[in-house]
Amino acid sequence: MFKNKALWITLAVIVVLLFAGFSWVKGTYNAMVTEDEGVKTAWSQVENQYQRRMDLIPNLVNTVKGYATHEKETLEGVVSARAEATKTTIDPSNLTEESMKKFQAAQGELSSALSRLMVVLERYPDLKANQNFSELQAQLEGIENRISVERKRFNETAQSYNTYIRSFPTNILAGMFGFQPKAYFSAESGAEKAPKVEF
Amino acid sequence: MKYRNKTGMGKHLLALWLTGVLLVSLFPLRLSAATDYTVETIPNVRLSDRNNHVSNPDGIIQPQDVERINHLLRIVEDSLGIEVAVVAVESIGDNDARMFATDLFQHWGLGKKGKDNGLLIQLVTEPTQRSVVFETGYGLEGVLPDAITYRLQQKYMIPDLKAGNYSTGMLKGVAAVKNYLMASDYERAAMTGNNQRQAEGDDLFLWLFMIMVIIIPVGIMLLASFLKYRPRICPRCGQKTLVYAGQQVIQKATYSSEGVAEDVYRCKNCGYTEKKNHTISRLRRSTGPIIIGGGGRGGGFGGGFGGGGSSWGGGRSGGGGSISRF
Repeated sequence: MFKNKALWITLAVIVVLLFAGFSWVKGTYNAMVTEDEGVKTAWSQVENQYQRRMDLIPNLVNTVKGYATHEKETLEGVVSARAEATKTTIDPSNLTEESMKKFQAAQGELSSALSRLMVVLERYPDLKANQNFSELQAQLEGIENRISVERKRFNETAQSYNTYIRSFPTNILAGMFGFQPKAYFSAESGAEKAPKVEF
Repeated sequence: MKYRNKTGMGKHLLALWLTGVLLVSLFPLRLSAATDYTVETIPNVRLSDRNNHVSNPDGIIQPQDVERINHLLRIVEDSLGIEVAVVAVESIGDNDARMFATDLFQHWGLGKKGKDNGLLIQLVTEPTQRSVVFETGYGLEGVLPDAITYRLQQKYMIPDLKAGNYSTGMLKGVAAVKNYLMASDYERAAMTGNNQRQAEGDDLFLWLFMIMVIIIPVGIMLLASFLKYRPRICPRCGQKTLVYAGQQVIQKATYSSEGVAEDVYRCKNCGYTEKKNHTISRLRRSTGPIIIGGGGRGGGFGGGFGGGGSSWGGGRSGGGGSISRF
């Protein structure tokens, strides 16, 4: 009779432990998935804004062409940088340091090409007086601002995700289920470099 | 005695220390509030009155213009649901005006949650930062693209702002924004509907709640009856055959007093009986079902979803809009 009782108690303890373990794994796993999705969403916002910038460029180039006839080279620089940037995309589930670096380099190239163009265009008063151009410029400024906002938010989300999956005891499960840390946007890339003004 | 003295001293010291801390903590705040605002220190005027749209701590905008702006923006909010805030300050320190607008927008949560239809119009007058910024919520980027906000700024605001007529410039700008929004195709229909997902989530929650309400009492009842009806060891013959045989009411319960009942356990093997008294709880007059948690979720509706504890709707922006320096 007592033997039986002991058996029951052991069984009950095992069941309770199993249940506790299960609910811990479930909770942690689901939280990791939520965080992961958050990072992906933040990433898609970043990509959206970069895409928006690339969509604006043909319009900008066409407007500028008519006025700045002597800046063919600078314009071509923008167009080719855009083409390069269009090719470089990241699958959001593969946000590694390496792919991020590539992406940032390509977009940074475009950023500096664009700012070179904008500096050059300062010399064309007719163009600056053009309402269409000044609005395009405002649009571009808005997009650049959006990019920096979304980049900042992406970094914050990625940081929260990374902190979560790397802290104990979540890191055990993260390793088991293959949750990789996400790469950040680094500030000191070409994208943030101020263009050199030469006279 | 000594002890008491000590505590008395302690109290004094504590009071002194508290005043000191208060003074120290108040002073920098006061000093900085007079000059450089941060996202946290700009007064959120909407907290005191929903009809206040203008945060004007430095008195840059004239009182009668504040009135008019509030009137215009109330029309926009009533007819389109768009939440517009106007901020006019002298200085925001070393912060970038554009970033500041984005942060302030997020801090206040302009626009309805989910629709993100907020707009922030921010004026900074300090010479190095002199600028007007429009920050559009995600949901307004379509109807108020950057180019349009820039055009409105250039056309309606900059001439006056440049001349130093800040108050007039802001009023004209707000009027232009109002006219533009009212004439736009920002769908009024978009304001209704869009609640599908929320409702589904509530349904699911309700179901879970119902299941819990049913399962928990049933489980408790099962456990209780198991304890009551399971056969026990008979003290006389040692067999596990002592079972519950029923109860006998000794004294009926009334509305004013508890009753007593006798539980009878009888051994199937040897016929041994055991009696235990238990009380019957007093009768209650209300026989209707007890509603559990009736008012539980009521508070969530109507009161808004509280973005950052402010009285704005909790909308978000992503750096859209434009800046005009002058």
